[in-house]
Amino acid sequence: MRAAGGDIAAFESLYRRHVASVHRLACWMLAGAETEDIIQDVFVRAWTKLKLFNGRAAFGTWLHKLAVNVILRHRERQEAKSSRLGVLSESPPQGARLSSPGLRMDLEAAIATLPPRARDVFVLHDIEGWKHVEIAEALGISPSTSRAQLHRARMLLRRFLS
Amino acid sequence: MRDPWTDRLSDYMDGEMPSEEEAECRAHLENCARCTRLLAELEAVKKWAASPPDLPLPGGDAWAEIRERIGRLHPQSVSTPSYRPSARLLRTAAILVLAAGTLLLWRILTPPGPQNAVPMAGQSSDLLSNTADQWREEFEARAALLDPASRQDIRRSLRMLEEFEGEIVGSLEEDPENRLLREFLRRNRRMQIQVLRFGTEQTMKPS
Amino acid sequence: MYLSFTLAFAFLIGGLAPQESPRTERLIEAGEVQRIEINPLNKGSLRISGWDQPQVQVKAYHSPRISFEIQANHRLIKVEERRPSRSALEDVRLEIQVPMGLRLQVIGNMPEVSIEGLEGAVDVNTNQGNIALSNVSGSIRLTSSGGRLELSDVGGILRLRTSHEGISVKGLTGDLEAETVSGDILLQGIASKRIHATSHQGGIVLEGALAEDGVYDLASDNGGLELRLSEPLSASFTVGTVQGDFYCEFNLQGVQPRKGERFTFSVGDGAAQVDLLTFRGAIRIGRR
Repeated sequence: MRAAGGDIAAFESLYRRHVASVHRLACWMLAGAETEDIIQDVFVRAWTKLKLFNGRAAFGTWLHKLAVNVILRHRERQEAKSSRLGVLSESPPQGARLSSPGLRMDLEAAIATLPPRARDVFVLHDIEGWKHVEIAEALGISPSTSRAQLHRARMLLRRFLS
Repeated sequence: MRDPWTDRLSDYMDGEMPSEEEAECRAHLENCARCTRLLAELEAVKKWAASPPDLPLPGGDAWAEIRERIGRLHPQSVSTPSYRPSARLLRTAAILVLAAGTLLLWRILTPPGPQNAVPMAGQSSDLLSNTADQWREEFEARAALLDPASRQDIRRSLRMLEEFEGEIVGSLEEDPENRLLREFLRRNRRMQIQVLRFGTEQTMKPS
Repeated sequence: MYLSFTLAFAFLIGGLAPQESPRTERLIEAGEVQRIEINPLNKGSLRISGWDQPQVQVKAYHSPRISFEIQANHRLIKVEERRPSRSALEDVRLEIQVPMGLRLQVIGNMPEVSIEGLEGAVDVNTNQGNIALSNVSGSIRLTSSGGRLELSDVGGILRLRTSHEGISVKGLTGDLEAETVSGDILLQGIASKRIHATSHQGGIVLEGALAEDGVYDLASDNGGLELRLSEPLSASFTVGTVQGDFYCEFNLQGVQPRKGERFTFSVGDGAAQVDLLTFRGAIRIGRR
């Protein structure tokens, strides 16, 4: 891969190809909060880690795993900040977040109201197509917890489809 | 009493259940209308998630900032003399394009009629002119990346539109209050933006 | 996560000889796949058709210098053309059959694209090459700088844009936004509620029935506008020409057409809203 050899033009091409899917992932996981800085962080991190990409998985798969890490670290920082301000991390998002341009209407807005862990698992499993073992590894939970959180998310969301 | 199978329905649906348990669950579903209905609802959620609606992309292009940050980390990586649009230009273009997009959306969604078919006091035409200039700069900076036939098509389209723009501007000098001419000017500039934007986007495609 | 197949490899020698059988051929269980992406396809032809099988079949006819990589996960199949960097573009013939409900995205440089029998959304973006669609009921977005866009029997929301060629739509029930710089726009058998069509150099023809709550906006700088409308007709017209003439088969109820400014008139109860604007072309409104 030319980008791993320091070719910035090749890396721009990778960016163009994958930015939309990374944006979508960030939008779902962060419930429509601002994603612009996250996207920058993901691609800057990807650039610094490119040499570790061994080509066994597709580049998009590798990039999304890296993106999930960046998103989770970002949210941890946000939650730490919120808890210092006395805001519960499991509280539903504020109205401003629900009306963010990334998410629209009914079920999309309902995803934003899910508890963060259930939302992560739902997004990664049902929207992104990850397996429970992959989710467990990325989120630092067991596969059975991942399955339980997925069920919890679906049970909460089903009401918005009826 | 809570049905013990309720919490296992996702596992059943995803094929995550051991086979003997799956058979038990299937037998339970044949006799439990509530679980059957619940399973259908969970399947609907899963089906929706497998094909969620497309989310709109962010208005700006983050590449310029990413490149700058990479440059600060590894200056040698970005020292090649390739084209690099400035962050300011991209931000300005994004804002102006958003404005143009809003105008376009307004034009499409608003029913036509004499009261709303005319642009307001020419201000939108000027805004569109600035936006077109920004996109022209972007396109020309990247045009070499486009295949010759498409580059020629786009430049020919732009020439036609610019010639017509000159004609309308000339007519407006003689009749500055003519609303119809202003409408043509606004449409012309909007079309120039569309062509330039399309041409610029084509240079970013993989090949 | 991705199950990655490399279906063909570039060989050191060889050219594109006429091929009886595809060099790359694959049948993939579609399972829960919802979307197929073809990105990029540089030159040649692409034919995609929907079928009632639960598989995706890919057949590619190409020289040994080209290869195709297919990645499949549980909801997306990606087909990518690979060629040696800086090599000249070569013709490729790609034939794909997909379950009808799949969504489709194609990004290409100069392929001829034809798509038929799909129910999912279709998004095609090419530089050159014509794009033809038939029997597609999902939303459609086609963009090309030098390709002609031809559609028949389409039902979803359509966004069509080409710089240098014409646009033709036959049999449309959904909303339409069409724009071309120098081509004509021909709309036949139309039963849409919202049409927005713009050309700089070309003419625009709309033939069909106007919906009572419909909104129709046709504009050209140098081309004429022609409407052939079904009766009974109920529409309010707003018309503007700078230099062109105006002809109408319906009763104008005393309204005098004037060049250089807009004028309005109604037919029937004036339910549909029609806005017609041209600088040099003539405007003709007649019966179907």
